[in-house]
This record gives sequence, structure tokens and C-alpha cells, in this order.
Amino acid sequence: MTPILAVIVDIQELAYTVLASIVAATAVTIAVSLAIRGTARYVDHSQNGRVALAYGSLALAGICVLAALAMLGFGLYVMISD
Amino acid sequence: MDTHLILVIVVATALAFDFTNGFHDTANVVATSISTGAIAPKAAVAFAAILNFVGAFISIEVAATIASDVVDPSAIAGPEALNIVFAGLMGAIAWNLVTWYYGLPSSSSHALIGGIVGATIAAVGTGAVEAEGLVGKVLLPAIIAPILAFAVAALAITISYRIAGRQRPGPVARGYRLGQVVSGGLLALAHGTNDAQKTMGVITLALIADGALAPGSDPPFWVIVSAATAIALGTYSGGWRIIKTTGFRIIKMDPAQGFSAQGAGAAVIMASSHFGFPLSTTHVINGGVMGSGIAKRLSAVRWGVAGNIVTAWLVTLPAAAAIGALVYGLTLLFGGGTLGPVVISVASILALTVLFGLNRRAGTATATG
Repeated sequence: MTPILAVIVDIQELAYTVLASIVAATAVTIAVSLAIRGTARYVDHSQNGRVALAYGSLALAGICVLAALAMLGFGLYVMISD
Repeated sequence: MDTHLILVIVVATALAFDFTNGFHDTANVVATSISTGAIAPKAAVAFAAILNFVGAFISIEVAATIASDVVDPSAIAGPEALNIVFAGLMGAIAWNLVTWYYGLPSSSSHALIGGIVGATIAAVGTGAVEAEGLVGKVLLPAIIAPILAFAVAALAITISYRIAGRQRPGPVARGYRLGQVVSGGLLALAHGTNDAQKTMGVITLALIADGALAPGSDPPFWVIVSAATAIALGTYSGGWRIIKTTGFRIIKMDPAQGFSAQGAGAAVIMASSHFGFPLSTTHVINGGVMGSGIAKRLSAVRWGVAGNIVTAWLVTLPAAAAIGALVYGLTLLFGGGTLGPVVISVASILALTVLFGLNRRAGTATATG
């Protein structure tokens, strides 16, 4: 017997929405937060004269910015293609 | 001649609703950015207005389906259709203005659906209301949207604090503010796409009812442009009372919380649109703001303000329905033809002019007193 709630609400659509929301928000937050952390660490390491660590942090920040931009582009593509 | 005059009034009323929709929902897009200083208030509303305008051109997929999931379109066909749509729009506009006055971020979509449902019940009875659609497409999403956004924003702010919480405050704040500008832009685009379509749908249905368009037609270009312009102008006007509630009164927000609330909001709105599970932008953003506050500590959320907002959400549908039914009843008092909408429109414009005048005078007196 199908539960009444499953008839009124498309449970699959709801499950996809919940899952996609969590995955997208988590991925974007991690990318942006790591980019910010990388930038902050770059400033710290530069001031302390640790050149290698500074550039490593900057590279991490750059990669994360690119990842965040790619996710933004994907979001826009999804919006426009709908 | 009569039906053409009603058609003109319905189109004008639909554009007026679209304006209040933009005006009322500006807060969804800009409140958190303004609150954390990510962007200056006037620049924020201008940015949101432009992206709302652009967003309205992105898609017209759902333009013709507004309200058809909750009322039986065949039951409201015929000469009465334009009066029902007019009464529904008046119910939505009135409720949007009431909630704006009290600074309550309620859903414009729910106000529109409530208004149309109320006017339909007054005209043809409860048989024309699709109870399953009302529960599945309106009531359950209204419960799910804020809970989902609350949970996603709480998760996002926890991750943000873990990764970047112990770094220098300067670069961290600047980084999250920049992230807020981008996520706010996405929200503004999504808002323009979703909400301007409702007005396009209402005007298209009115044109079909009048015989000016064939059934099943897409919105004409002038309808798309006028709906996009009305929502953008409304957004640019800025509903500052609601911006204060969403941005400043629910929680005291830092840039990481603002980014988490907006980023979670954008993710939830875009995921729900993509999978065909429509959620209210207002419910999502306010749920996200509460979620980003509670992750810090329970008492960070002003629960009294949150309670008022949730009460407004619960009341929106029946209140807009009651006003829609009342306005439809008033049109019948004038014979059910063109006279009713004409008299009600003129009276509403006069009443609004007086109220805004009194509001401005009260504001001036407060400022100088």
C-alpha cells in the first residue's frame, strides 16, 4: 500500500532535492573556505619569510577559487538549461 | 469593450503585483549582504534589480502553469475568469503590503496562490480547488523549505568555522563578503527567473481568457519585458522594512554566516528548481539565516522574531484567500461586470496614496522630532 504522503509529494524529487542541496552547499563551502584559508595563510607565511609555504598556500587558494568558479558555472548552466 | 477594459485592469494589476513581489522579496537577495557590509545598500538593490531583470528572460517554462496545480482551470473559465484573477491579484497585493508594513518576510507566491484560491472558492465553490495540489505543491514545500535550508546552512557554517575560523579575521571577512556578493547574484537571477514567470503566467492566462491569445500559447515578448521591468523596478525600490528583519533582527550576522545562509539558499533553490520541487525563496533564505545562527549557539537566534515570521508564513495563504474572496464579493456588488474592478482599482490607488503619504509624514515627523 502506498503511503498517502508518497502520493501527494514526489518522494524521489524531494530526496534528490535534499541530496543535491547538501552536496552543492557542502562542496561550495569547502572550496570557498579553503580558498580563504589559503589566502590568510599566504599572508601569514609571507610575513614570516616562509616563501615555499606561502606559495603553497597561494596555490591551494587558487585551485579552490577555480573549483568554486567551476561550481558556479555549473549552477548557471543548470539554471539556463532548465 | 467591457472585457477589454477588464483585461487592461487585470494586466495592470498583475504588473502591480509583480512590483510588490520584487519590492517585498528584495530582502531575500540583499539582506544578508547588506547586514555584513559585503555591499553598500543602494548598490545591493541596484545589483539585485539588474539580475532580477536578466533572470526573467532565462526561462518561460512554468509561466503558463501558475495556480493551475491548485485550482481547476476549466472551472474558472468563461466571462468570470478575469474577475476571479483580478480578485486573486488584489488579495496577493494587499497581503504583500500588510506584511511589508510589519516587516515580515512572507512568501509572495503563497500570497498569489492564496488570493486565487480564495477568489475561486467565492466564485465557484470549493470543488474547483485541487486539494492534492494545494497540499503537495504549496503546504508541504512550505514546511520542507525552511527546515532543509536551516539544516544545510547549519552544516555550511560549521564547515566554514572549522576550515577558516582560526585564521586572520581581515582576509577571512573579505573572502566571505566576496562569496556573498556572488551567491547573492545567483539568488537574484533565480528569483527573477522564478517569480517574474508567475506574472507572465497570470497575464498570459488573462489574454487567453479574453481570446487575444490561443490556448497553450507562450507569453508574448511584451509580456516578458513588462514583467521583467516591473519586478526589477520593485526590487530597486527596496523593501527596507523586511531587509531590516531578515538582515539584522533574526541574528547578528558575521560574513561567514551571511555566506553560509546565502550559499545554502542558492544551493537549495537551484536544486529544487532543477528537480521540479518548487520551494519559496523567502522560506529558504529565512530558514538559512536561522540555521547559520543556531550553529553558533541556540540563543544567537532571536526566537521571538523567528516566531513572528513563521506565524506570518502560516497565515499568508488563508489571509490572502480571505482578501481575494472579499474582493471577488465586492465585484459582485457592482454587478459582476467591469464596474467592480474599475471602482476597486481606483479606491485602492487612492487608499494607497493616502497611506503612503501618512507614512512619509510620520517618518518626517519622527526624523525632525
